[in-house]
Amino acid sequence: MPEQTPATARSAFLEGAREISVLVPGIFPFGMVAGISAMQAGLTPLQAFGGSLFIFAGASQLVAYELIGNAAPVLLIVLAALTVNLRFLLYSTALAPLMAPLPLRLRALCAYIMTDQAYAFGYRRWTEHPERPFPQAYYMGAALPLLATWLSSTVAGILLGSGVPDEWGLQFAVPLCFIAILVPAVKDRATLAAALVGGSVAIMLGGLPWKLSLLIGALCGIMAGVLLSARPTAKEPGNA
Amino acid sequence: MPEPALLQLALTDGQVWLAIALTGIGTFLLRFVMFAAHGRIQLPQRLFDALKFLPPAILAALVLPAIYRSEPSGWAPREPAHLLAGLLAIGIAWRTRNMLATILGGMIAMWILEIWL
Repeated sequence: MPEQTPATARSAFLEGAREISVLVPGIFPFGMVAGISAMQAGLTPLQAFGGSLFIFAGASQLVAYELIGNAAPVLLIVLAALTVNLRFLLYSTALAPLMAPLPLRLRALCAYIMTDQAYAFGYRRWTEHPERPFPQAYYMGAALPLLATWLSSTVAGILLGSGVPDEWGLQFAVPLCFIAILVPAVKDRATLAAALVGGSVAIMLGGLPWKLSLLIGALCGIMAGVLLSARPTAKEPGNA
Repeated sequence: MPEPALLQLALTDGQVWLAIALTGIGTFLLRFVMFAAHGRIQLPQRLFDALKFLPPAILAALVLPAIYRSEPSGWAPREPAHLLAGLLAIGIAWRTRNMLATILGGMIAMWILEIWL
């Protein structure tokens, strides 16, 4: 057994926390943008904090706040935000065997603290280093600091949100956050096609109310990606 | 965007809380369902494959209209500063994979371009 192998659940937890810590400086401004845009959409400070605590999924929160600002129907807000979060079904499926030995309560906790980053770190260590013990503790160690970062940065954004003048154009930070998540999600031709089609359709349908363009654009983009990946050309190396 | 005049202009406090609560419950269930199911549920492979394209498709559907805001009557971008700063931010994200650099670079570029253009 290599020396650096963590011997206890505690050290695996700390290993996860240490490795995820490089992401905290990037997540903090994202959380501030969530707090600021909630305030600018007319939420109360408590609602803005509640959004981060109960939803804890940045992109969907930004979508929900924009629709709340537009006074969209509640069901449409929920539908749009949940569509953004459908990707958690993938993570949940991928991590399910890892979580299976845990009692239900811990599984519920692990589900609540799931993020793109915690999933990526936890899944990588579990699958690439199956010999290292306590992968669940590692996952929690990676996930919990992001929850703390998210809540504290939301509070910072709430405090700032009411004081920032409109002329600063801070709303523009919202698409910038999305860009920072979008670009790494484009990995090959099929995902690029999904992005280009999704974005173009959303621009063309921009006149529809309540961001219906978002849902229709996403659906068209998904179809483009599926079509392209179903028929790989000779030049595309076959990868899983 | 113009909205039908009969609809309310702002949500009530209760409606906002309802939206937050339902989104929160739904998001938790999306995260939890496969953990709870213990292998008893299997996503259809086609849904699984399609969901892989959700992040790029929906994020681009959020980003592109936000940086390329065309005039309602045509295709010209209404705010070239947003478009240029957005494209620069895409470049920064591509090179650095860093959220802080992307946000700061994009904001600074937008401020400079708004003064300049």
